[in-house]
Amino acid sequence: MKMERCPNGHLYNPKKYKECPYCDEVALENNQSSQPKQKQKREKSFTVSDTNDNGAKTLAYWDEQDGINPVVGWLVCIEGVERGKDYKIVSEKNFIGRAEEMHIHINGDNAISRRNHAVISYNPKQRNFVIIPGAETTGIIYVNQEAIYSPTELSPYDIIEMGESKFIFIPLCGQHFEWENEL
Amino acid sequence: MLFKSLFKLFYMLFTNTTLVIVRFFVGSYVKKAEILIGNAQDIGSRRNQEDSFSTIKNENGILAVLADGMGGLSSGKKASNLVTETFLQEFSQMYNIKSINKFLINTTYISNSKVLEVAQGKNLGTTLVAAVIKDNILYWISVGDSHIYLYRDNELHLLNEDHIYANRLKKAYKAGEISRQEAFNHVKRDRLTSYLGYEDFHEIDYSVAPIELQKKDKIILCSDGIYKNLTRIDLEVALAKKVHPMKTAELVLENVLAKEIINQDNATIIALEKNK
Repeated sequence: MKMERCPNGHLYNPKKYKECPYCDEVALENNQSSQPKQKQKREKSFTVSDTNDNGAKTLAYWDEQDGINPVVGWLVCIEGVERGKDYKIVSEKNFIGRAEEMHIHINGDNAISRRNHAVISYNPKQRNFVIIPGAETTGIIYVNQEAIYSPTELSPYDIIEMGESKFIFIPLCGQHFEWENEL
Repeated sequence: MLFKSLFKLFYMLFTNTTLVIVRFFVGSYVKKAEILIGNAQDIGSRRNQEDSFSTIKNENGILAVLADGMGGLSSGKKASNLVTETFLQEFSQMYNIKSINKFLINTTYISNSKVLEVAQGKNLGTTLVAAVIKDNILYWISVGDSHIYLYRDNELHLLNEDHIYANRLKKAYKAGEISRQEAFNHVKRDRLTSYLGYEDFHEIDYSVAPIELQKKDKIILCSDGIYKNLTRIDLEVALAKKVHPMKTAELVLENVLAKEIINQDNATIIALEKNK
C-alpha cells in the first residue's frame, strides 16, 4: 500500500487524491464524485447543522444553555404548496421566509418573500404571541380575513394568510402551560 | 553463433534466479517488527470539520493523536488543531523521552493552557485521545469522550473511560444516592465533564499500566462520530479482516456512513497494527 504522509501527519493514497483530503475538506468532497454511489447518498441527506439527533449540540455539563430550544407553538399549513406541514415556533422572534436559514422556512410559495416576510414573536413574560408583518414585504398578510399592517396579537386557531398559503396557529404556551426555567 | 546465444540465455537465467533468491532472503530478514498506520475521516452532516488528527514516527516511537473540537462556529477546529499541533511539536522536540506517561500528561496540561489562552473567555473546548508506541509498548491518554480500543485475539477492549455526566450518574445510582430513573433519564447525561479548554479540568484517563503489544494487535483511536453509530459487533467484524490498517480505517468509516444517520457528527478514526 503506497501511502503518502502530508506535513500535518495525515496518511492518504496519492493515486486517489491529488493532495491530502484531510487537510482540505473541499478536496475530499470533490474527490467523492469519482465514487458516484457515495456522492448520491451525500446529496440526499444534506441537511447541514451543528446539532445531533435530539437537536442538542455537543455541550459541557456546566454549560448554561439547555441545548434544546423548547417549542412554544406551531403553525400548520392548511392550504398551499406545503399543505399538511407543521412549523415549530420557539420563544421570542421567529422569522418567516422562503430561505432555508429562516426559523420558519416555507418552501415553494413564491409569493412569500425570501427573508423576513413576517415575524411571529412569543413574549415569555406576558405569554402572548404577536405577528409582525415584514417592513419590506409587498404582499399583505391577513389574520382571520382581516389585513394587518402592524403588530397584532394572535389567538389560538387563528388563520393566517401569507402569500398563496393559509396557516392555522396553535399555541402551546400561554394560560395553561409554560416552560419553567432551570436554575 | 547458436552456441553463443544459448550461452547468453543460460547466463541471464542463472543471474536472474540468484538475484530473486537473494532478494527473498534479505527481504525476510530486513522486515523487523513494524507498526502499520491507517486513518480515515469524514465531515458527516456538520457545517465544519472540527475533529483534528495526526500521526508521526521518529526515534521516540510512534505518536497518534486525535482531538474532537466543540464550541460552535469554527472555534472547535481551532482548539482541536492547537492540541494536535502541541502534541506533535512536543513529541518531535523531546530527545529520548524517559517516562512516556509523564510526557503525555505534561503535554496535555500544556495543550490545555494553550487552548485557554486562545479562548479568552469564549466557550472553547476539545476532547483528546493520544497514543505512543515505543519498543512495542503502548502508552495512551484520554480526556473527554473519544475512544481508544485494543483489538486482540478477535476481542475488542475499550481502554479509556468516557468523561461524561452519565458515568457520574451511574456511580451515584450504585451508591444509592439517586434512583434508577434519575440516573438513566437525566437530561444532561451526555454532557462532557472533562475536556481541554476548561480551567479547572483535572479528570484525565491514562495508561497506568502500559500495554505490551503482541503480534496482530490493533489499536483504534476514534471520535464519537464513529462509535456512537456502530455496535461493538460492527467494529469487531471490520477489525477481524486481515487487511492493512489504512483499509481497516476506511472500512469502518464506510460502515458508519452507510447507516446514513441524520445529523451525522464528524467522524475520525486512526488504526494502528503491529504486523510482525
